[in-house]
Amino acid sequence: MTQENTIAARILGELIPELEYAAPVLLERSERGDPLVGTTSPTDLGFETGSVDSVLLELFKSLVPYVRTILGWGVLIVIQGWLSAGRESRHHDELVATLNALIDENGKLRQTVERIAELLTRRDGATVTAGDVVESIAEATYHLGERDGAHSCV
Amino acid sequence: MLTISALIVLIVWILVAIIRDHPERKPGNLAPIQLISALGAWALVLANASAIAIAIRDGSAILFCTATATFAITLISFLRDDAGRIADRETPKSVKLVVDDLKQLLGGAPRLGIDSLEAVVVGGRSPGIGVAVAQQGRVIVRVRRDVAEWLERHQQKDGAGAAVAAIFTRFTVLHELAHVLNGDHRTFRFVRSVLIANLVWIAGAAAAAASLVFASGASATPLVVAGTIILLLVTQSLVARRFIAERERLADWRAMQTLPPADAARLLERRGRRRGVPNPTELEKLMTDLKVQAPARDGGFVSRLIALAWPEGDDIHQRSERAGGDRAGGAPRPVLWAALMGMQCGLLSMSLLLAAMLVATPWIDPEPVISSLGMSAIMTLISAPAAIFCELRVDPARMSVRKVKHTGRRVIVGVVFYLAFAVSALTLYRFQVRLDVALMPPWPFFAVTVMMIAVVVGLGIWVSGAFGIHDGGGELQTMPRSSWVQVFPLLAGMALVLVPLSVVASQWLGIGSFRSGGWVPLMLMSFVGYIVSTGMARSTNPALRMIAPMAMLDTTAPVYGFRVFWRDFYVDLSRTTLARGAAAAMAVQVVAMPFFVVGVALLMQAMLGFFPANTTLAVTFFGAFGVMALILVIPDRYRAYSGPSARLLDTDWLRILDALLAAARISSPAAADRLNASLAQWLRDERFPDALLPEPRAVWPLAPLLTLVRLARETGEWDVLERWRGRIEHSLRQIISNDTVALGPRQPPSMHWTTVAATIVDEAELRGAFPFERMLDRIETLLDERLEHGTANLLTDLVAACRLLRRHGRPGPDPRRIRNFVRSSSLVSHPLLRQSLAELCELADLTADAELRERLGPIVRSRSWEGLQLNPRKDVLLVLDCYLAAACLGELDARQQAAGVIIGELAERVSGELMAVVTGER
Repeated sequence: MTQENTIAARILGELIPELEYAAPVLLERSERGDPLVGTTSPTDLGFETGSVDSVLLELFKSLVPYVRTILGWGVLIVIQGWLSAGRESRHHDELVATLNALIDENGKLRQTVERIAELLTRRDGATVTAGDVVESIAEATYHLGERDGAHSCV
Repeated sequence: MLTISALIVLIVWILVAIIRDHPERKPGNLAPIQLISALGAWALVLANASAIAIAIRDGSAILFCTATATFAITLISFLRDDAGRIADRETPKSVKLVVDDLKQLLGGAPRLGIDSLEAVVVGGRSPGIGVAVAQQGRVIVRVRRDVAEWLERHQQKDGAGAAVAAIFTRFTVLHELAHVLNGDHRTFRFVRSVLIANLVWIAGAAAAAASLVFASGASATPLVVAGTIILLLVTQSLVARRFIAERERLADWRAMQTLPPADAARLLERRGRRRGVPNPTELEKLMTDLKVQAPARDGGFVSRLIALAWPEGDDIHQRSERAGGDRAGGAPRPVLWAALMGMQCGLLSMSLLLAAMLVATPWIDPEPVISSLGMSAIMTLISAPAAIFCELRVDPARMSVRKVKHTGRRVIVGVVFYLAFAVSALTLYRFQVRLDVALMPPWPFFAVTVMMIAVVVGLGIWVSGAFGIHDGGGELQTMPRSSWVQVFPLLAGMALVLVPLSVVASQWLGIGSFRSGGWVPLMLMSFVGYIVSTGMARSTNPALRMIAPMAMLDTTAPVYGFRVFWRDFYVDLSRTTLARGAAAAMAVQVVAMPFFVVGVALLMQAMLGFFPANTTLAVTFFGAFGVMALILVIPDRYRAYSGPSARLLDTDWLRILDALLAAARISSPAAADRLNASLAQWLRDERFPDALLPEPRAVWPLAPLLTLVRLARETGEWDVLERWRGRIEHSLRQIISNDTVALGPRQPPSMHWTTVAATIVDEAELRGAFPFERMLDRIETLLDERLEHGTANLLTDLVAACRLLRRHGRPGPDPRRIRNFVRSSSLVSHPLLRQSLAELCELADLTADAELRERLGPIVRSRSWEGLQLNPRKDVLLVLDCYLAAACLGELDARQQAAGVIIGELAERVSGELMAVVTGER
């Protein structure tokens, strides 16, 4: 998985918590244009996990281009910079502030983040703000930084 | 005659099996929905058999090929082993750890049906994580190669973490083992095979439609048959959705139940960005990830069709939420089950009848009466056990000390079952008659038969209320194999004596052959006579007691009493072997049943002098119900147990309350304090302990009385005990003679009952009122005799006697003698499920038997696991006993934490309910 895909998957997993672990596989399939989950019929004595909510998968699919867009408009560079910085110099608040500044400068980027927030609000049934989305991106970056091979990924 | 006898024995056997199945112990909703699905699958199988018969009759190649292909696919799919090839890859560490832990848990307990457990990694297209049940209880946990890698990936830092991955692995393995314990995998495979195979009928219907269009003069019958089967398939597929979901739900519940509480909490931890809206649990995230690991192939038309006929159950979100929330395993839904069960029984009855008629018609010309009799037999055989099963499953999901005898709900369930049955049977009947697929019984006969089923269902409502409904709590038996003397001889007597003799007597009287059923009223009246005679012999009224000629007396383990021609005799299973005891009980039935048959036959002969045969039969048949009603007016001591408070004076309830208090004091002292307070309030009832005072003709109340006295001591209710003393002393004086307790005049003293009486004397502080030391001397002598000449059918009396003697500074017999005696008992080498392990642990302590203690360790661990896997909030006594046994062995480790949490919950709820019962009554 490329570095950008890893970051995108992590952000998507943060935005849709149900798919936190499944996001990398789903993103790969989404990129290839494959169905996200196959049609299956359960067999006996197998740990069959049931079906994945199709609305959730639709949300995932609809979020992918927006996440790609925000990464393309400078967010990826900010995240990469934060990840490649020394462990001691990484501050979560600093990252949020940098991302917010970037979003304030770029109207289209702000619109995209707001659109993501809108889609999430619709799904959650509770208000999700652009600030929440930025927090989620920062949280995803933070978790990526926590990983053992973070530097090799960047 | 033999056929009829066999039929009756079969019905009785099914009913007894269902009633003795104790559905109140079963958690959740799996068993009913499993049965409902299986009935539907059998209806489909029969429909296919009918299709083959129609194909042969009409020479329809389409029908023949389709039905044959369906059978072939069903068989192949059912027998196919979908195990993948074992891969070279090493089993993941987390799976190994779980399997090793379970192996240790199951050590020495083959009773669970799992003799050995191993884990392997497999390749191919097998399920991600699954188990295979090889022959002789060999269970293999199979992990697909990619899932093994997935598990290892999650142990890294970018995954869920090593701890959560290990807990999840444990959860999945326990989930799969739960399927084995539920026994649902066979039903699942059978129903799935049948449903998927029946998809062939879509092609069959298309071919039949094409033949109608393209071939002139083609018959419409194949299309009609195919359409009917497709309709049946759609109905069964809808029912199957529920079965699939419930099966997973119950396995999840069992797995969650057996996880240590800390692990369960970790798996149910919610983490994510959401505020104000619940985040998903860790379980949901992992299950979703596991799900997407399967290749996302678009399987094409056939795969979609299969997925449509046999879909996934609940979605992952619902499933994971329920796994965390269903603390009682899911509330029963008796009315829905009754509706579905009624529908399935109607479909199955009519499918079976159709198949039978199609097969029989070419060979014989069935008269309407014969075909109607066949219809009645089929409908009764199918609907009677099913209706009783539904009416039994109205019990609540948890144990409750409140009265939960839902008469109203049982009636509703019965009515719903009947209506669903009648509607589905009528629909298929009309369909079959309209399309003239086979010669069916005429409409009036059908209507009468369906109305007769209403009587069967009504009887079921009564039977389930009288014998089957329990409020939960469970039981542990003093004599684990008491059925050998109590139940089996009675059933054998009915099958081998009552039915054949009734048939012979009816032929002798000339009131009809066995085919005409003239013997049924005679048999019914004879049996009712026996029951009423037994009721009279147990009555509190001396005159009624004197009249009863034959009876099973009011006795419990280990001494059973019988009356034969006004003479009482007793079988003490602590002195007599089980085989001899069973033979004696059988001899009683062989004498008692003919006595009543001959009596009723003579009565009927006298009646025949005045009335015609039909009137005599009708009078006898309905008279039997009238005589049975006498049971309601015969005075007995059980009436003293009426009322919400007094009903808890039952032996099992008292035992549960006593064990719950003891266990809660270990696991949850705060809850134990609240339970203690509620029990103290309850014990202050002015009417106590009158219902439990023993009498010479009924010494069995000694057992619950002892527990009641013990509860009063443990709750510190000394004033209450002081108030009871006079009454207890008075009653004990009536049964203690020569410092012992015997069950009747000229009977040898019973060590069991003497020990119980002496313990009451001791614990109620009545030692000054009785020659207590002499009683102890007698117990020592009896114990000595017991070890010398007694049987190992029960150990309760040994434990109680040793405990009492030790408490009063008497060493009793040499512990080596007791150890040798005990080791000869199968109750020690292979303890039964309904046998107290705490008692065995106490015995090991009393006799300083280190070997027995060591042997009991794995048995207690595996039983605890089994108790948690069953229904720990309902089959409570089993869990309490295991917990107390573990405490006695000093094994209250992490494995017992889950039980400890449940016991705390139970103590809280019981204390609340008990307080409500007490305040409601005062």
